Amino acid sequence: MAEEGRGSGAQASRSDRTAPDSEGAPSDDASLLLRCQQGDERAWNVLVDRYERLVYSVALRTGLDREVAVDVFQQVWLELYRSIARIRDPKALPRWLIVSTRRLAYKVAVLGSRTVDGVLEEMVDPAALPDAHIEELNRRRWLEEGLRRLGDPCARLLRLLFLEPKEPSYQEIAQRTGLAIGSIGPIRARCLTRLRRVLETSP
Amino acid sequence: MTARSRGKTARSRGAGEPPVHPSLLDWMQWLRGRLDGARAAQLQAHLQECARCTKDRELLAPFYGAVRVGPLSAPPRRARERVRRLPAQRPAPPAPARPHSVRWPARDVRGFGPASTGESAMVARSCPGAEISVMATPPRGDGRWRIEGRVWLHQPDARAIGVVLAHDDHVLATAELRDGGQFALEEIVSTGWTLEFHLPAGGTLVLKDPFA
Repeated sequence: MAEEGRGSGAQASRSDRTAPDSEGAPSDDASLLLRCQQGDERAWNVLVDRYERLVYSVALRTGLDREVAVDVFQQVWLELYRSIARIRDPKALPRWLIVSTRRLAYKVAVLGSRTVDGVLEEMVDPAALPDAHIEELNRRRWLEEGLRRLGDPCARLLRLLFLEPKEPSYQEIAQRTGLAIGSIGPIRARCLTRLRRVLETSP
Repeated sequence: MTARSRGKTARSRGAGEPPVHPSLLDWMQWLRGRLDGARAAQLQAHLQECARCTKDRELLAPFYGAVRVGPLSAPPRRARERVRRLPAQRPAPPAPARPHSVRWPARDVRGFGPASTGESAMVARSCPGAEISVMATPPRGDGRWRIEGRVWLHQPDARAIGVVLAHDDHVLATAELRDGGQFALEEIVSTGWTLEFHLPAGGTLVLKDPFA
């Protein structure tokens, strides 16, 4: 979709105006990687908080069983930590992490055949990873981060409206949130506007 | 169309406005690919002439793509804590400082031993503060290289040599070796890797994949 391309560009430019962390230091990926090189453990923790779900989810989705996915998760972070001084394009860190996870998962799958039943080998082949999928995974991470920063009740309402797989009716949403059915529409619009503002400063 | 959005697409016509405004939820159904071709085309056409709906769609921009991916899972707490402790456990290896490339010897097509079988490459070098020897054996069907070697320090109590197996901007394996120390790295890695020796006196010796 043309709109996806547009959204992707907007996301790339946002990284330049990422909100500072709780102590006022820059928290875009490039600044964090630089701070990690200088031994700043707080910067490392911010990176882990930001991308841990992404890495673990990619490992799980390659078809590894849960225990092995945890090993891959840890190995990817070790690889990132070892590679910090040589990452050439810090703005592409999500891609670096996703591709590394897939490669490690592939390695584990090849060596140990530890995939869950029914998963085809092409699902763990790193070569079979389209850019669009990487973009979607990172977009999901970015959205989750934005919703976390937005907080409830807005985040809860938006999750129910747009991300809940069962797609609950307005009546169910009203019951679960305690909102009047008639107020869901206007609140939804306000929450989307707030989310948009939050996401403008989310890495 | 879901129960939530059914019956919400048609709205009253305003002066100068197009006749139908799809609801926000219609747009979500469109993004999820659940509208048939004709309806999707109708919505796309509507966007061309309706600023208000364009704005609605822009509000949903963060959800494009994300809805197809599904929720991301949190790792177990113990794994997360281990990852957070990495900087406290070991220093990250530096990028190569003053790298000096070492050539592998020409392959001996008439000789004996591993270097002549066409399967492995060997090199031994003297460098500032140390002697190194390395043998690299390419994968035998499973993509796994075996790269092994040994170092001797000219001053036995000198700082350890850092050995780093890297590919592009990925460090795949590391080892720290004291005098007489040996290493054996078995890694699935594609051609084009480099093996770095971070020397005690500073500077880095770099061996490139002999079969690249």
